[in-house]
Amino acid sequence: MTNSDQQKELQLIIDECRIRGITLDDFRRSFRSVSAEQPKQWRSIPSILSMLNQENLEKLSEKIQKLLENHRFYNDKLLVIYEKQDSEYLQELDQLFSEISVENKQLDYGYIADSSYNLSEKDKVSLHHFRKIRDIFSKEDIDVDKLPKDAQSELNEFDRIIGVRATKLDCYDAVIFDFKENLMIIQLDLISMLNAGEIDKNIEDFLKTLNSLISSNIGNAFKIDKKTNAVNLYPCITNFYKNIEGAVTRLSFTTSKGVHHETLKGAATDIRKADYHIGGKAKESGNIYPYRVTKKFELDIDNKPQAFIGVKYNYFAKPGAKFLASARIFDVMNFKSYAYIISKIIENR
Amino acid sequence: MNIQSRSYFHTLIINTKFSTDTDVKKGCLELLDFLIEQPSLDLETSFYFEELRKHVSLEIEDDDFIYSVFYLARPEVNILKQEFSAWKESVHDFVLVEDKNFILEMLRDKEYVNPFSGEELSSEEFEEQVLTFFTPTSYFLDKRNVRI
Repeated sequence: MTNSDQQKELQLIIDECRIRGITLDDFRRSFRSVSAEQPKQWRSIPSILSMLNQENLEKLSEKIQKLLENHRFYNDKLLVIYEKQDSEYLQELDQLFSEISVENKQLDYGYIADSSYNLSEKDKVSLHHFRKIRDIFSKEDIDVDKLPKDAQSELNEFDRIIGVRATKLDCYDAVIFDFKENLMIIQLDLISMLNAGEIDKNIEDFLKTLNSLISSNIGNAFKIDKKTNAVNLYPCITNFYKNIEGAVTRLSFTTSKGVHHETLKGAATDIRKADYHIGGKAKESGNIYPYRVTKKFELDIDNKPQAFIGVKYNYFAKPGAKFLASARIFDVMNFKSYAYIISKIIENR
Repeated sequence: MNIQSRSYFHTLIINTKFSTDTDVKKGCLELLDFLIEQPSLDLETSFYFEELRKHVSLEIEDDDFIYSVFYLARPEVNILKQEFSAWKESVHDFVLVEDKNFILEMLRDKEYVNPFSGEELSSEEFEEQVLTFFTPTSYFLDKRNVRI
């Protein structure tokens, strides 16, 4: 491949990374690691690429491809975890999904069986990607001064005009089998970009797609259990708050005075250790009831995975036993972080 | 303050020459009064300008006050450390920017983007999306009770 072809190919990968929400900050790190000039803006990337020699261009391509691949595998996901699965059952499904993905079979709800991967030989974890195009909505400010005069007068009474742009994007939902722990995980891609109201429907559609594939190939007996039989993560909300390890980076809770939302301010790393939290909690004699919590674990400088576990206030406030099927993970960019954060979620439920 | 025994840092500032037509020296000393007496202070305690302003008398003009804060954050003075956090849309929150040089370069070149999204910003938007704050240095925390 010529240098200029390779630049074009790399640019396409970078564009996909950008749409998937990989930050400019992350890119600067990749550029720095091959001693290339660090881009200050997205639009300065092409000129930096054009100045790289073949060797560095190849090194950078490899880095960024890996970044994209890991993002598709691990980052910004919603997880539904099934435990204590029969290992023969998992083998059957693993084999079926591997076969189907070789053929790139077209499935229900616009899914395509994309590819199968062995994430870890040692831990015996495999992943099967099911690709689907979704509309990802992003908001953008509209500059009223650039609109025609008559449109401007119509919009005069608004302080801010916002447009919603739909971008079609390949999403990589997945099924993960962990043969060592006998787990099965159903995973939705790019969860931070999905509309909150559509998440449950998306899980259902994915499960229906998988189950119709399963029943037509190996029989109804192998269908994946409904979501309500997945691991109940509801207790994890309180346990994440109580267990001292890691750092709480976001928290919603109730006290006798109502609902509170806390985020990290400035250089604070753990809400539980921040003055504003300790002070408020003391006034309530320590009686606070978390219902949404985000926890960050710091394994090392490159591995700081976070998990969000939470329910809506209305559900939290309802009396009776509670169930929560899903957790969200982010800042997870490799298998090490991924395996770690999942083990922490399971351990804390 | 007791002249007989001053804090090490007060002494340092008192013995430093500042331009006489500004109140920077006074500003630094008042900030030190506050930082030294503040009961709970650690590496994660963060101060924004508005907060520090409350502890410096109003007769000191805003420009001198700001200069005082930056003076305490100079590497050779090493009392405060300047940090930045920026708006990160995916988490709907301000997140600490680890690559501080990126922000300092933008300020130097007057070309602004959000460090996470890469979206280009006007200087006003930059002010809204990138916040600066100051934390005490470990050097200051170690020596803040030293009196000479």
